[in-house]
Amino acid sequence: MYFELTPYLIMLIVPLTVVAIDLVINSKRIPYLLTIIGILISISLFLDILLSGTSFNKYMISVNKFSIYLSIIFLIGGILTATVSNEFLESAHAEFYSLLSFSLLGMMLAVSTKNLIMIYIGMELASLSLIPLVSFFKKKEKSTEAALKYLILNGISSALFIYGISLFYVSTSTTNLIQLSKISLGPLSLPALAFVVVGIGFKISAVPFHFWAPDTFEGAPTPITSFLSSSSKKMGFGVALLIFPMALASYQANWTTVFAILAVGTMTLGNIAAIKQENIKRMLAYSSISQSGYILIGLAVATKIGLAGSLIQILAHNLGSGAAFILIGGIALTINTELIEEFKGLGKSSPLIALALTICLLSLGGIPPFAGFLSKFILFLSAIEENMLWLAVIGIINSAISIYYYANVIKNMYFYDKQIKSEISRPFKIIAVFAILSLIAVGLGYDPILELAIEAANTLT
Amino acid sequence: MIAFHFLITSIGLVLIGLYGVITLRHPIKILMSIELILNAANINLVAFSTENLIGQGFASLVIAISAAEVCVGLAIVYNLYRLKKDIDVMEVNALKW
Amino acid sequence: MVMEYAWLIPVPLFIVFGINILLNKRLKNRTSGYLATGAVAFSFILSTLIFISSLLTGSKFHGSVTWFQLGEHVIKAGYLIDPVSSLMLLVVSLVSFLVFIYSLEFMEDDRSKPRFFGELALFSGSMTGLVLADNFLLMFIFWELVGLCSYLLIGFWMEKSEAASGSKKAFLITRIGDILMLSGIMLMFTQIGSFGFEETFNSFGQLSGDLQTITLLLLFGGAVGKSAQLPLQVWIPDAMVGPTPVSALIHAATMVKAGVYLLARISPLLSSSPLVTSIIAYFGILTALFGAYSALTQKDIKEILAYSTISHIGFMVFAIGVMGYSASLFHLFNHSAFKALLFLAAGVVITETGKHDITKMGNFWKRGKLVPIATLIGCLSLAGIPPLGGWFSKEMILTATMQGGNYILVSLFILASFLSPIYIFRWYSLIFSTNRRKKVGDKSSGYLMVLPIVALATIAGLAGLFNSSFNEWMPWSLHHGSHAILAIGSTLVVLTGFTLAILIYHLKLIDINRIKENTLFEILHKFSFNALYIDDSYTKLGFKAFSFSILASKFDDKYVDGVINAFGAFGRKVSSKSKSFDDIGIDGVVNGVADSIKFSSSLARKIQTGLVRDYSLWILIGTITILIILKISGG
Repeated sequence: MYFELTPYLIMLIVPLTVVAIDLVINSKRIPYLLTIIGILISISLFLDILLSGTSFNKYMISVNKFSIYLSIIFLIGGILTATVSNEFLESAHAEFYSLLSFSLLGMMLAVSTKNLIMIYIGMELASLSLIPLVSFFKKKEKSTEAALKYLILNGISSALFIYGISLFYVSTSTTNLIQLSKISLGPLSLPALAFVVVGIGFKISAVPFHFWAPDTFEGAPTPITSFLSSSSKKMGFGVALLIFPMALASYQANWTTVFAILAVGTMTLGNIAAIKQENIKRMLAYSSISQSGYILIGLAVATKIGLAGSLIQILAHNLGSGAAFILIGGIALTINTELIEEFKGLGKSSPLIALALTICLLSLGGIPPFAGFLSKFILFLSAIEENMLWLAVIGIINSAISIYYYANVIKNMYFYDKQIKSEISRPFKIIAVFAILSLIAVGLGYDPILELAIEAANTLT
Repeated sequence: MIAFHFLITSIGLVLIGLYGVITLRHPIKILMSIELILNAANINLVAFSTENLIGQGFASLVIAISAAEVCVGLAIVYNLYRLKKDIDVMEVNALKW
Repeated sequence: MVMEYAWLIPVPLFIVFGINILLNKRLKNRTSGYLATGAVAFSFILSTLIFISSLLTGSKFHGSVTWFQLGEHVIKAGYLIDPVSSLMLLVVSLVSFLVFIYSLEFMEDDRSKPRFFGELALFSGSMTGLVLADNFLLMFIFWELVGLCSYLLIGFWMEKSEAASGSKKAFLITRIGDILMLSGIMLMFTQIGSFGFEETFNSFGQLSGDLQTITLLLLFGGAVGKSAQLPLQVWIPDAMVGPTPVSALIHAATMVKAGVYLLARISPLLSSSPLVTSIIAYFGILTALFGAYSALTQKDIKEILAYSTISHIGFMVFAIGVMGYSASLFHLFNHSAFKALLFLAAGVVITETGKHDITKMGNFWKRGKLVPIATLIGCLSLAGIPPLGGWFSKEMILTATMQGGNYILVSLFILASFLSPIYIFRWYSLIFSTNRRKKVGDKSSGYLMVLPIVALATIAGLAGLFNSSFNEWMPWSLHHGSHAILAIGSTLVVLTGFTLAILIYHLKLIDINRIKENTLFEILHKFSFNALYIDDSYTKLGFKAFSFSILASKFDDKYVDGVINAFGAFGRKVSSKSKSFDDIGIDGVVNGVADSIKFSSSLARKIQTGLVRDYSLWILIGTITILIILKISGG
């Protein structure tokens, strides 16, 4: 009867076990293996729930297709990070992996509910576990600075978010989203909406709440950067998709305008700022901001196809950006720099990694037949269908601009003859193969995935 | 009418908190300002939980979470002090552009 | 039936791409080439079988599977075999096959052979995929892949600095067209609810007239970018830095033909909109004139051919515009044969002499007769001398034009076809003519390079024989011979051009230098040599944007920082070392646009001060802005 809760329980048991075992045996491999196995079991349990077609809706937890879709996406981001983390870590493995699992649990809970309290607790669990992870390289000043910025700005925005929730409670005496949709919010509705948008805007790094992202992404350990981009950000979108289309349907005219404006600002600023970056991590951080802008188009359109487009873009960005950060981390480990210029000759010395990175970047740039093209295509299509042609046009122009800086990286990797030594270890190669296959599979419209996304979008309205 | 007073108090606390966040240079003071905003939310939650007790329960959760947040924050600030011997946030800008 | 297996055509090419890229270093150089050639041979054989069966039975085949579902729309993917696509399949795989064989020797000493053949296989594979596609979405996916491959292949010789910039230019400029096309496809989908060609053709008439025009123009924009029509033709000459086989492939089979193919595909839609077709016709004929005129004075052996391609694609687009669809496709077929032939011959000349400047060549006739004779056939066909294929296809285009009855177009067309023999025989004479005392290198080409040339010459020589059966086989019939006098007249014009070229360049009876002394001719010469200064004016525009951005960056240092400081902080100084604008070597429109974007990029960077305080302030500002937006948009 409570079978649907098992994946969550596993993500709770795994980190506790990891810490407990670490008290007895100080090992590198045990936390690593336990976490990966835990995540895999969790994913397969989710798939099992999907196949059996059941759902759970009791207490504050609600497990349905939407929450499963997003939870699997978080778990994929988590497994990408976990697979390569041992290459970066020197000590405190158990702490790293347990925090990672806790963070995953928080994300999963934040989208598996219909209650604002649970959403808040999940989001805080995720980000409070992430802050130590961002500052995990204690001796590096940049890592600590990144964590400090994340801590303070996350504190402010989540405080404003909870203030927004308290205003909802003031007007309606409930925190349940379904009840919220039935009650009129009264005069406090607009401030409440604004504060909630701010809280979410920070998590998804929408302009002008995006400032933490480039700094934190650059300073954090690369696997964590990947995790921030692929999972933590998506949690913000998950929460936005949960709250707005359902609970605040009566204010749709208001928030769709806000999201449309945020989408335009986020896409444009992210893309433009990315062009002049020399550090590839920072460039991808800005690109990740612009990708959030595309996801916001779906919320601005707020039709079923638009929401489904957002969900597919979430998946495409999760795979493309997550894998790209990891691959860059692998390259940076061997050539000891993150400057784009130093990537010259990579196409020859490690063809698999270079090909995978190229495909990730092309997917982010929206070139068919990779995942990013399909998702953006659906998003722009949904905008045109809702007579928001201007939004689609801005999106298309932006994706054309983004090609410029992605092509620059590809050019550096392939078009220069330079001998560099790069011995990239196996976990990165596994990620590379996974990224290539999954981006092509999604990009060619592998039907079960798209179907799941559309069904997940259907549960939202 | 009492309800209105609580609302005014909480909005005042939010504004003070935001002002503090923007003007202060000491990270721990910034964390305290954030606490002010959280407490503003708590005032709302507790004061308006007349129909049910959800608000009061939620408020105690928020207090617990903010305690955790301060713990993490102090650890980061301590580490920053160890590295730089200076915790002025205006000096922490190695990452930019 | 063999048509059912048409989907297999691109598959081996994609597999070879995967093998070559992934095994890269582990693969022997030789093996990679043979693998690719084997794959393309398979595609060629299959395409030939399909072509023959289509020619004999005239039947169609349409296979499709459900691809994915989007709300209530079911998106299908499939392949469509009809006379148009089977002809294109044959052209693409035939030219690819010959080019691959040629490359086996041409790229003999290159160290990155696996990468070359891998990308080449992907290039051909994507093009066959584009041809097979039965809907716009699938077609666009392959369309982009073709563009991507050309980017990689043009920049293949990475040690050349112009390779990187040429490839980037090609990629970015064709993307302008791609964006137009994508917009057209999406617009159409939102109105019709399907990407499929057949569904679109059936329900396109329900759209309002304006919407039809806009959609068709957007699709035509895609063709303009891909097929290098005015005003997006500037990438083609720069793309010549790629290896010669790649140029041959781009010009004869894969890249630029995609635009014409797209127009031929949507021909059922075009016939309903006279405005669009006349726009297409004028664009086409002006491009044809421009290309031919610019080709007259170039010096680079490959650039002349490049401008000639621009001109001939212009003819094809023009033919579409005057609704001579079968004429256009027949010209496409002929052009593929003779242009591939000329490029491969140019490759032979370049490897044997090591030069690119034709004014410094000559006496090539002595190096064995096979290549010069084959090339002569190609040139004659290009010039439109009867009874070769080129003459037949140009006559067909002329007939189609006459049916439209627009005499401006007729005269422009005759003028453009008058220029073709002149530039191509200038090219031919300067390279092969025996009248000069120029030495030839002592390298010689092996049979792998000569054989494809001979094969192509045979095709180019015999293609004319099939003109009437071709016309009957195509879905659109064109009536012949109704304008016999004009046909003879235009042939005479072409022959005059041909004689003139022989007199000037081969027999040297007319001294070209004396003509050049005339001021008028000097100006004409300059304009032609600089291709009407179009590329340069783009560059100038780019320069303007560039100098603006330099000015702006100075402004930026002084004032913008001040504003940001005053705004964001309390009496604090931000170190404002703006990065100097890199890459002063400006490359036309690409960098021009890029620089203005880069300027805004440095502005966008400036906001990111690195200080938590500013960031918190932004959060506050954002909150207030959102509140205001919510209030204003209140419903």
